[in-house]
This record gives sequence, C-alpha cells and structure tokens, in this order.
Amino acid sequence: MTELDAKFARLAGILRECGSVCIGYSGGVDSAFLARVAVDVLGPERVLAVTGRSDAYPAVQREMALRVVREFGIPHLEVRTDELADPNYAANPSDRCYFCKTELWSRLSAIAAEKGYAVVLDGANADDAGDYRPGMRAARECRVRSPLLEAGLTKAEIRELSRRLGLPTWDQPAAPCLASRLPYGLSVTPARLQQVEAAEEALRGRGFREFRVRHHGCIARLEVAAGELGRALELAGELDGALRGLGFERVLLDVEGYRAGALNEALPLVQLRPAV
Amino acid sequence: MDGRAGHRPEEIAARERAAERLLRERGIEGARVNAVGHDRSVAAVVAPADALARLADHAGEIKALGFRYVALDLTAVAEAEGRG
Repeated sequence: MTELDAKFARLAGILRECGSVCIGYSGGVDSAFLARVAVDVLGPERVLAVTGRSDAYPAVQREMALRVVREFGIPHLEVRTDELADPNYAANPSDRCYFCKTELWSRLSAIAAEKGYAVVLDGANADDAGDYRPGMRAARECRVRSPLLEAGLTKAEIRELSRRLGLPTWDQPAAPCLASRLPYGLSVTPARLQQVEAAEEALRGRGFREFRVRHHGCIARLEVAAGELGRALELAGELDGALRGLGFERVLLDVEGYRAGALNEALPLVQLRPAV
Repeated sequence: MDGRAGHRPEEIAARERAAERLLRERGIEGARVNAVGHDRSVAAVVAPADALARLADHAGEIKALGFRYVALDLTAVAEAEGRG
C-alpha cells in the first residue's frame, strides 16, 4: 500500500467513524473531493453537502459546485448567508474569515442538528495547517471536524485522488471567496465584490487561467501567472478598457505575478484603522 | 511594507522619488512611480511594457522603500500604445 493509499484509507475510516455528515461545500477542490468520498463511504442518505451563498461566493464556483453534485449524486442544499451584514466582517480586518466562517458553521451546525447529521465537516487539508487561517478557529469553536487534514492529505494529494475519481475539480485553480481580493482594511461591500467578479470574468473570458484581480479602492491590480504576463501586456489596451468600464480608474499589472495568499504578505503590519 | 512607512503627503512623495531614483540606478530610465491604493501601499510604475521583467528583478528593493506591491501601470501602457 502506498502512502497515498494509506491516507485515503485513513480518510475513509474517519468518515465511517463520523456515521453521518453535513459538509461545508463550496465546490472547490477540497470540499468536492470530500463530498464525493463521503457519499462513497457512507451512502448518500448519510451525507448532506451545504453551500453558503452570499455576494462573496463567485457564480463560476457555484456552477462547478452544482455540476459536481449532479454528476456524483451528492445530496445538496444551498443556504443564504449574510456575513456582509456583520460589521466585524464588512470592516475587513485580518481575521475577517473568522466572522464569515462563524456565520457559516453556526448555520451548518443548526441544519445538521435539525436534520439529524452527526458531524459537521470542512475541507481543510494538511497544507492549511501551517497557513494563517482564522477561519479554522471558527471551525474549532463550532466543533467542525477536518477529515482531510486529520488524514494528512495535502492539496497535491487531493488533486491526484480527485483525478483518479474523475472529479472535474482535480485541476481547478484555487478559488477562495471574492472578499479575499480586497486588502485588509478596505471595507467589503457588494459593489466592490461585484466589480471584482466582473473583472475576473473579463480575464477568464480572454483565456487567463490562474489570476486574481485585487481591488485597491479605485485601482485594480492584476496578478496573473508568470507564464501569462506576456499576454497580459499584449492585451494591455483591451484589459484596461474592460476594467475601467467596470469603474476602476486605473489598471495595474503586478510585476511578480499571481501568488496565492498575496494579501497576507501585508499581515505583520495590518493596522487596526477604521475601514475605508 | 515597512510598518513605519508614513502616510503624510511629503512622506509618500519621498518614497515615490526614492523608488524612481532606485530604478534609474538600476538602468530603468525615465520610470515614474506613484504610490496608489487606499493606503498608498502599491508602487504603480509608469514605464514601457518591456521593462516588466526588470521591474520584477528589483521588486524586493522597491518594497523595502515602504511599498507592499510593485506593479506596472497598464493604463499608462495602453495610453502610450494608443498614442503610438
């Protein structure tokens, strides 16, 4: 048995131990994999995947989430979450995810209790353990379990297992919520989230695959994968026109390209100033 | 970004000038730098498109002057192309 097989077996064991599960499901690589395996191990009657929908949840992600539950027979429920109504979240502090996840896990815990699911699960994996993840604190407080992390599965391993299981998410770029495009301290509003979503759609429509549009007030700063920087320059006029048409006054291209968690680079000096 | 980097107009201007001087010393002539964004943490560099790779080589040095991000001003590139 390979190490990866052993981890997969450990995951199956953890799921069996849970008995029945309610999964926080975004349709991303991790939660899609977890939901798929949970249905295989426990049967669909003991699994419920729940998606929290809000302005920060990208439409393109929802399409993938719905596709996976349809293709793999995963019982699914969508609930409206309202984290933007929480001033603690909207102010966009560095622990913003804590407030969002507290809302999400509280809702899921209530659903699980009402419908008789024994355990609430999230899709955190072994790589997340070393990162700055205030959302994981909320999970702990709500007694949410993280079976992928408990089994020691890394993101790369989850992608490989997803590929073997035929999941369309296996090579999907990471897709955190839209609020992650706003630097800490810049308040999260529906209008800003819509601007980011439309701007990213403009890049996606032009064939870019790994990128982020970072919102800096009236400025859009594009982070595109190193291999696509040249094409971004070739399309400078087109991208500038498209994004300025969405209300940005100026469009910038980050010289270092796309990197996951770039906004956390500012963390040691995030200042606790009122959001603007 | 250095947490001590100031937000007063004269401090912001000093950072911009320091970044321009650094780029000139590194052979990127005529580049202009504007501190932009809600907290003025982004160094928006007005330079020709073909300077991108060289800007990336010196991003760390520019950040050390008090910026969090270094970016080429794509709007300026587009405007220059439009004029060309």
